[in-house]
Amino acid sequence: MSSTVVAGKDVLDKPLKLLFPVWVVISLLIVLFPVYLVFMVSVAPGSALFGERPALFVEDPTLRFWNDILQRGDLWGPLFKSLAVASFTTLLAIVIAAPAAYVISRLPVGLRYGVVIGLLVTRMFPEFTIGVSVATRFARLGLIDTYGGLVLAHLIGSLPFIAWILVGTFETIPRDLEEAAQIDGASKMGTLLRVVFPLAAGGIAVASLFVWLYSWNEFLYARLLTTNQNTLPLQVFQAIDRGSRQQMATVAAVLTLPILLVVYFLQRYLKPGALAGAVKG
Amino acid sequence: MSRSQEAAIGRPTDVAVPRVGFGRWFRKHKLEVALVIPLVAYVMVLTVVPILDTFRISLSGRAGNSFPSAQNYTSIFASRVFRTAIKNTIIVSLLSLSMELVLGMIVALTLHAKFFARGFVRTVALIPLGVPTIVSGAIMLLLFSRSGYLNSLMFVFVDLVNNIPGVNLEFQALSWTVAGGWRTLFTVAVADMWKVLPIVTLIFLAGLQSISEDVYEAASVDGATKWQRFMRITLPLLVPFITMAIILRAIDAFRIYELALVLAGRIEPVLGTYIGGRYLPPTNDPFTAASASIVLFGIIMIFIVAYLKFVAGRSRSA
Amino acid sequence: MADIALESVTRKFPDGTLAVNELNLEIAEGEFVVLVGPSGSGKSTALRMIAGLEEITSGTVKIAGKVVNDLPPRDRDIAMVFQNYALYPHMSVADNMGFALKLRKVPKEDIAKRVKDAAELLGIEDYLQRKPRQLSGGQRQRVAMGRAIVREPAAFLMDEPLSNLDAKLRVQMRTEIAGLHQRLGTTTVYVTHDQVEAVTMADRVAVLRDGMLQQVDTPQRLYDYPVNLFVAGFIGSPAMNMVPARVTSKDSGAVVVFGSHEIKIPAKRLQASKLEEFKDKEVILGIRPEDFEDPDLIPERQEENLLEVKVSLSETLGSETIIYFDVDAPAVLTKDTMDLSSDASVEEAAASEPRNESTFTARLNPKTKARGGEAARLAVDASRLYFFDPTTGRVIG
Ligand SMILES: Nc1ncnc2c1ncn2[C@@H]1O[C@H](COP(=O)(O)OP(=O)(O)O)[C@@H](O)[C@H]1O
Ligand SMILES: [Mg+2]
Repeated sequence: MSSTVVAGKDVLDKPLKLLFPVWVVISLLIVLFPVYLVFMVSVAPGSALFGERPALFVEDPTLRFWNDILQRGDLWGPLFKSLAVASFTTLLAIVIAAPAAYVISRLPVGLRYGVVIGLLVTRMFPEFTIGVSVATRFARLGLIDTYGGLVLAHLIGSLPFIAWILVGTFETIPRDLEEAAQIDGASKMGTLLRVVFPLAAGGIAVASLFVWLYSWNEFLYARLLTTNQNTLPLQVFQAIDRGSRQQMATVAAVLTLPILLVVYFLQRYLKPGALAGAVKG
Repeated sequence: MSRSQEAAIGRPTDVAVPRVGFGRWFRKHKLEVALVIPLVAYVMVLTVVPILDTFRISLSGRAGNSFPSAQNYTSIFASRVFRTAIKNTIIVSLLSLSMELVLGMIVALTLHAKFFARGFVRTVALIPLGVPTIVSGAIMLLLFSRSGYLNSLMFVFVDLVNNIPGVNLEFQALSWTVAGGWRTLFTVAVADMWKVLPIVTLIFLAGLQSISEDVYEAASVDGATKWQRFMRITLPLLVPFITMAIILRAIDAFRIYELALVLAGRIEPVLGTYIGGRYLPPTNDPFTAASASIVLFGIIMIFIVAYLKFVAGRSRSA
Repeated sequence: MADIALESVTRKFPDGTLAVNELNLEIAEGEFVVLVGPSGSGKSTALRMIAGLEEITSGTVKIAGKVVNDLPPRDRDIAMVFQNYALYPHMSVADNMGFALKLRKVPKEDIAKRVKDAAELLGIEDYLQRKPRQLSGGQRQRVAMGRAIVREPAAFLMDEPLSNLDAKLRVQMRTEIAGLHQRLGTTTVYVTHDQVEAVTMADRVAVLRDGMLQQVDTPQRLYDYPVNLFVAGFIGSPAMNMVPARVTSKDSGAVVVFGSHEIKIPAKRLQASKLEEFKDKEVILGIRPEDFEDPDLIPERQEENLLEVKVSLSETLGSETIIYFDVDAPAVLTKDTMDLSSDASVEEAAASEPRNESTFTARLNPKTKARGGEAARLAVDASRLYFFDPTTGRVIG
């Protein structure tokens, strides 16, 4: 190689070394500034927001908008609906998907991958392709504006995903343990309840947090299936549509706060595969 | 199958083994079957059937008795709004996809390097994942509108630069979102990118961590520069991860809805907002919505197949 | 306690693998039977059919006289120790051991007492509150044993329970398990691929190959009277020397010739067997390493049967000396001998040009002067020669 370059040292070294800290700070700002904005605007007095050059800092923060939404009470309905739907979706998703995922994890390899890929393919369809039919039918069945209807819809997206994650979890539990339990006198069901599921508890917990997150954030099905009782994301949208900036920011902050906490606790489980299914752009 | 054939199969001969085996298999695996049935039934009733049903709706005429008919498809393709929506969807998707890949790679490389407070930076980098999509839409409105904070930041920057003697920059406040055209689409793409950058970064980071240090050491002993190492070693070894990122992200990018709804609204429709707009009041037109959603699925499929065939396939054989 | 009987038991896997083929085996009440054979010979499959973990394709398995083919494991009253122990990771040692009793609704105090007794027996009473991952390999092995013992089952089934332990611990646990069996007297079926383990522990050993039972007998009789080349080569360490040979008559009586060597066959040995029929035909001669000796160290010399050899290597072990020497006759390469060797070099050797040379092993009194690189004379105990039919591999006797 006709190189003027000595190993380990090259033209890129100097600029990289200088720019690296600058770049890290800039990228931190890119991530943090938008989040800061939500909380900042939610406490900004009206005067601070206008003009071509709105202030980047609030000098006289006000809790007026927080007080407003808390007292006016139109936050509680959506908050409660979002909480209830996310929680029931999670519960049902586990009850339906965990036993099935166990069985799938015990299939012969070829069949197992076939089933898992089949589950993932359902997620390639746009929600609208499923949702147009589902919403039309739900309307006929009187499921619009009900918690049940939205839970059913959120399960469509959650089940394949959680089943997929849990198949991975169950695959890590050695079959020997099930055989040992059978020899010890457990029935098939007993083996599942006393050995397999307790061992999968960690994986199930993580997967259910993902499902909870998905349902809490979900917007499209909620919009198709709602006419008057909003979920929180719909409430944010309504505020965007016709509220003031501060109202919008305040509801957005309410929606965001619990999730930042969940993500913080989930971060060590944030594996690319899981994410791709759990969080969508 | 005739009755006599069935009887013959029922007899315990060698041929009959698989059939007799099935009954026994079923009796032995009753529990397993019971455990999968709810999931299978759910996916059938609430995913497979609706997909087929939407397909049926898309082929149904408004008059009712003209199934199957391509009328819905001909009328949407005749609509200029729909064609714009397709064009915009593709532009936004490709734009956000390419920005995500480039930036995701840079951020992943950054987080892969060892530096002070890397753990903290990694945690912070994940934050956008925790921000609901609709909220990130709201944020982008705050940033990009006429009296938005991007303008504020630009003014701060320009003022800083103008402190340098002899420099005199002018900056005009811009409205990005309602401008229409490229600027609006760009806003949507940036919003999408901000939201999903952590996913792409994590995928690439997993890829980088899967490359053994030895390879780099061997390369630098051979005298490769950083850039050469990146182009000749890192990138080729990351191909499977890049493919994964592209496919996963493309599926979602083409389906973009909330961000486009908030940021582009009716000014620049994408397929998601077009479908939603037709289906929801006041239009209430499930036929158009159904056929447009099938077209959207078709676009996703074409993209994935084409990508796997031309790009991923070729780089594997190279 | 119970007896176990396998009658023509066969297991054919869906992919066509015939893992166990027409296995007949009776295990008496209280007996310690070891299934031994090379890896893949169907030992685990056979054991798992007794346990009820593997479907029985045909044949019957009886426990205590009752056909159990269609009973699930929990109704067979057997306990099993797995190769990698299969301890429940989420339960403490005590809960692991008491799990079966809890499922049987045994009162809590009884469980606690039985767990404590078993733990004392195994010396693990200090670890009862720990989780399996906090234990060493040896301790885990004991817990697995304890889990079986607590049950007081009709039979113990053990699948290579010691193979994950280091060599020293393995020897120690070997004696402990044998001691436990003596104390409890529970019928035990024990699977291993290690013939030393098999012969040191078993009342009777069943040798399997390719899913087929070769021979069942006491360790001593297996050693003395192997039915074929495979068993002869499998039992005994170092392994029996085997070489193609020819039996012919000479003036002085019958001799067996291999390469340039010759050994006189005692008249009694010839008359007592069918060896006559093989006169002047090819046979395979087997000599156990133990049946060589340094002629100077035999107290009362008898009829001379000496081999002149050149020692290529000697290993002094203190209690004995092992020497290796080459014999100018080809190695025996039949299916039997190849099955014995897990390493591919044998098959390679079979594929390549046959070399007219094979290596013998002899186990000598440590006082011998034989050293590597030197010539030596070896006495052979001609009364203990083995002859095999080269076409069938069966012993000629
Ligand atoms: N589930 C299975 N499916 C197909 N073949 C199997 C299965 N389990 C074991 N076998 C095959 O059956 C034979 C005997 O296996 P095994 O009983 O485990 O042998 P061993 O315990 O003696 O090593 C081997 O050839 C093995 O590959
Ligand atoms: Mg085995």
